[in-house]
Amino acid sequence: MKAHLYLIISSFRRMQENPRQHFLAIFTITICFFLVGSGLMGFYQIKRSLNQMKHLQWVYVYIDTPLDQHQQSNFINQHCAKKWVDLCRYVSAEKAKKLFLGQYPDMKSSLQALGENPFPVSFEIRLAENLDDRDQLQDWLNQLKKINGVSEVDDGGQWLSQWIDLILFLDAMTYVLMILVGIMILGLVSNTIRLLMFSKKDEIGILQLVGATPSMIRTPLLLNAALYGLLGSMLALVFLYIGYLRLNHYISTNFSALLSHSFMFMSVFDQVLLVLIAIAVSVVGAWFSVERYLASKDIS
Amino acid sequence: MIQFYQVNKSYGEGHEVFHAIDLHIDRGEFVFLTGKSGSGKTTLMKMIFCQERPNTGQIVIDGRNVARMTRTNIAFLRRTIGVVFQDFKLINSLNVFENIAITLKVLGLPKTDIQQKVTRTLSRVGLERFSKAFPLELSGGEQQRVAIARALVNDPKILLADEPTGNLDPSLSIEILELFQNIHIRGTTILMATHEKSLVERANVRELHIDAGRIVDVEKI
Ligand SMILES: Nc1ncnc2c1ncn2[C@@H]1O[C@H](COP(=O)(O)OP(=O)(O)OP(=O)(O)O)[C@@H](O)[C@H]1O
Ligand SMILES: [Mg+2]
Repeated sequence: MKAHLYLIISSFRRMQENPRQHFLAIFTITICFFLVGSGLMGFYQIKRSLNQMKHLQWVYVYIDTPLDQHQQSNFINQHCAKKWVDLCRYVSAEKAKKLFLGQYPDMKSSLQALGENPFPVSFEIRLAENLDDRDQLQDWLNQLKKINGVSEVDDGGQWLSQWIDLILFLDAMTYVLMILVGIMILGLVSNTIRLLMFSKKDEIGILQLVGATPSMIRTPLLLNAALYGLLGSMLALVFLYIGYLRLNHYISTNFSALLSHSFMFMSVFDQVLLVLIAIAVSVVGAWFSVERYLASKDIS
Repeated sequence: MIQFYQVNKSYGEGHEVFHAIDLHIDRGEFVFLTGKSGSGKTTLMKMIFCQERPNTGQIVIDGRNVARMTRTNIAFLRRTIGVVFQDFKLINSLNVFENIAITLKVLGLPKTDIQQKVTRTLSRVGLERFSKAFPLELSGGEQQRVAIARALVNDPKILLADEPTGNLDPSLSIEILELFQNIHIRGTTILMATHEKSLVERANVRELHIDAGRIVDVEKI
């Protein structure tokens, strides 16, 4: 264990010997993660906008006969206590009429001519933002339709489910992007480590000849790669944040009318996750080339 | 300590260096290895510390068959063997002290032990003042002595020295030989390849001679 420590310390102390190589490795990772970060934030932003538009979507459940207080709260407890329901309210015929007249005051005389109140009783349900299970939603809508006394459920037709599909597609794209970049970084880091090993080939050979075990050779190199991942991704986050501040500033000064909400930066959780992924991918990449090197020199 | 059974070794197609050699070196022996250039002295040593594998035959070092060793076990075996390489194999980016210390660092010895052992070994080969120097700042003979120090610093069970006096003048050669003899007295098995007839005669120990892929004991009167 102590031997590992010596080799690790000496390998880190001597990183200054070929700084260009190390900077190059770190910067390539930075660029990759900057791209990935921008992509993720862009997707996230689009998704958020889409969700907000979905938030404007209402589902109307029309009822045959008026409900008393008890029946109303029964319905709400049974059908609206779902995570995808943001708001659920009972609209009596009277209230519907009032709302209608509030919007179209000149229709008052025509309504009075009808005598009877033509408006049906309904529940107005506003959907929440965090709605992503289409099947669950569909089940719920079907259930609503089957309730005794419900005459019609207006869910905006195909619109809602297509909306959810779009969001799911964006999610899938996010994963594809992550995987593609992951593979890219795997290749890059494994190549960089191979170069590093090549530049230290003689030294590694000598270490092996004086009795360094494979794990003593491997550990410093893997830690080196981990450091690449850590520094590279943190640098990427710094650049992302700077870019984000500039973009936000630009938008709020030039397009404030167009966009009601400002862009959001990644959550701390996402940032940590990004750094951890960068480290993991770098270490795996390094592992590949170290193992290949050690195997190629079966006995050195 | 070192046993070869019917070992064949060739590089690539057709270039046979050893043909069915048998070799037995006992624990605590001091053996010279002679033979003309290209006869296979270095190759024999490489097979002993597992840098090269034989094509056929068995090699047993300190009671263990090297053919069945894992990479990690080979590393452990090498820690008991001190090697003075013909081409020194020093790390140019490390100074003399650090070059010698890697043998001990690989073992994970405490810092104070390392300091003490390296300093002592440096003085044994007469290089105290070069402790902070880098290999490329040293003469060939000085580099060679660094290589010797690195092989000795860990008090190995076996010392393989591949022409350790090749770059030294006669008086220094004799000093190194006396150093080896001192180590030998303390129980280390030594195999030393050399071209210098005078050293062989002076030491008056067992001499193995490689000739045309065979290895023979030179009869002493
Ligand atoms: N890695 C190698 N690949 C191919 N041939 C090799 C290799 N190493 C050595 N040889 C050949 O094997 C033969 C023995 O080489 P070796 O280095 O063992 O000789 P040596 O006795 O140590 O010579 P010297 O006294 O010059 O050091 C030589 O003919 C050499 O050309
Ligand atoms: Mg040789």
